[in-house]
Amino acid sequence: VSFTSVEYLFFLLVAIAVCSSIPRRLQPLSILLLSCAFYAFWDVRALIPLGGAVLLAYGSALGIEKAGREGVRKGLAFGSVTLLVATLLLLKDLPKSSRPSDWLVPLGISYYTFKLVSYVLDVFWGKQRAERDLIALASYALFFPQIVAGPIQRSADYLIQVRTPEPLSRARLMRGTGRLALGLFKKLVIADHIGITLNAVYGQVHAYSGAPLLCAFYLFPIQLYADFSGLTDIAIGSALMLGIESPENFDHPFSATNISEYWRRWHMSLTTWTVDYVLTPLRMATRNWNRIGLVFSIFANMMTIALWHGIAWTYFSFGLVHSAFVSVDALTLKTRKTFFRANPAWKAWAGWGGSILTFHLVAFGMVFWRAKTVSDAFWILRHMWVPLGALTSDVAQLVLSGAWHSLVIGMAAYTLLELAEKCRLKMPVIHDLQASARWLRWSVYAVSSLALVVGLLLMFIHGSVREPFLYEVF
Amino acid sequence: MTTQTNFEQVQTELTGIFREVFDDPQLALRDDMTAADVEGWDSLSQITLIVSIERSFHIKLTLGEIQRLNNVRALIDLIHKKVQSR
Repeated sequence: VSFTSVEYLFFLLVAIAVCSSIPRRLQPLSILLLSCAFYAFWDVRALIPLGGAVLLAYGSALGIEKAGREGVRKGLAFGSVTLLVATLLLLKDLPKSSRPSDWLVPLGISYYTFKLVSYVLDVFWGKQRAERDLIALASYALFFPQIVAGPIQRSADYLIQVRTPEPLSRARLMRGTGRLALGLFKKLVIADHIGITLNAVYGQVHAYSGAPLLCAFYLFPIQLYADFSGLTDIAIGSALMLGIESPENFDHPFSATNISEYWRRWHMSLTTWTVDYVLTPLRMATRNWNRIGLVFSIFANMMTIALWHGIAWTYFSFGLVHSAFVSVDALTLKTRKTFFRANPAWKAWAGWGGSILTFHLVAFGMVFWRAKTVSDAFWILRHMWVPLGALTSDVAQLVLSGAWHSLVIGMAAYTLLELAEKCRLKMPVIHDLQASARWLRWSVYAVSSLALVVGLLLMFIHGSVREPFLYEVF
Repeated sequence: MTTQTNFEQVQTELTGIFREVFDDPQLALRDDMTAADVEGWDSLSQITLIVSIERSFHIKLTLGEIQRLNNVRALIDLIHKKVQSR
């Protein structure tokens, strides 16, 4: 069931009705059953490997807590984490031709595996108690709004909410609906429209040079942002209406003034996960290796993020490029600080210049992420540079081909989104909608409803030719 | 630093370490302070902070101990405990 399908909205309505009418103590069970039903739409047999992973995490966490000896605790923690990660790598990266069945690679395997690994390690480090209630833990791993593409919520944050659900208020319902409408808008109006041209270019890069490749270079980050953050908005909005506040995944990533800041604003639930469970442990282990330890830990962290998407040379190159960017950023931090303290006049320029440079570094890395092969990525980077005269004729050709319609719609919608976001940030009153003036409150309701209606209309119109979310496949 | 190091001594020395690591001579520690309250306190600078603490107080901190810390007060308590049992 796709998040942009009418079937999903219907399923969500039923789920909201069930969750808001049953007794509070039955909330984990109802979420688990609803999530199993959601999963069954895909393939009910996939619940077998998923259930196995939940039982492994449940049992090992209880064992870790009960074990007296440090050796036993370590064995249980690292044994179960190794098993979970090995299963993920084996199942996900098995070539399609050698897979006995598709259901052996469950939907959202990368997301629930990372959730369960963090749960086991948090119990091992004493950050939280082992969960006694198997149903609650299973509902955490399977929670259907988060299973398709995250956000990767931490168990302690989820479990406390599912046990003490607040009654569904009008404010929560409006917040959830608004978020869901925003997600539909980002996906159907921005990402899918920009995607028409970009998918054609990335599908056959060797057939293009000049403006179309330049377009692909500059616009793919915007398409991916609208697509993935739209998917996240739908997940967060849906979860909110079921009583669960999810972590945020994006925080204005293109406003970052350096590459490390970008990674603190992009796919945040994954990057904070790798910081806690990969970067920090490795940095602690290599803390006396000075710069080599720093670069090694950054490399391992960026590679985890890159190869989490799949084992492929394109993702490897993406990881390598970002390892280099983040390492240079970390190694020059002190020097830059000293320079800007001595030359304060440069600081204002560093903000603008830093954002522009960071966007280019991000777009450069994304070429490797999106291209079908590394050689395709190099083709784009080599052939997108054309003289201004040729660029003008390329643009004219693009306009004549009719492909500009969708690009203009997508980019106009993106500009509108950014302007609205700027207004929202500058008007703190909207942060507390319930306490704001009636005209403002109802304006927000009206705009949200309109976006939802437009989203629904687009869902019906494009129902048969739906573009999948770029992050659904992980 | 003597074996009878008290909380105030730990806090004073820790303030000096924080000021040096985060390059802020005015920085003053509060018990409820977290990474969100200090500019530049991220995952990488946190390890620089840990290394400076270990060298300065002649103690060893483990990953589990670091992961359980939730504010500056918890860090001071941990350092104090480690110094006392040295």
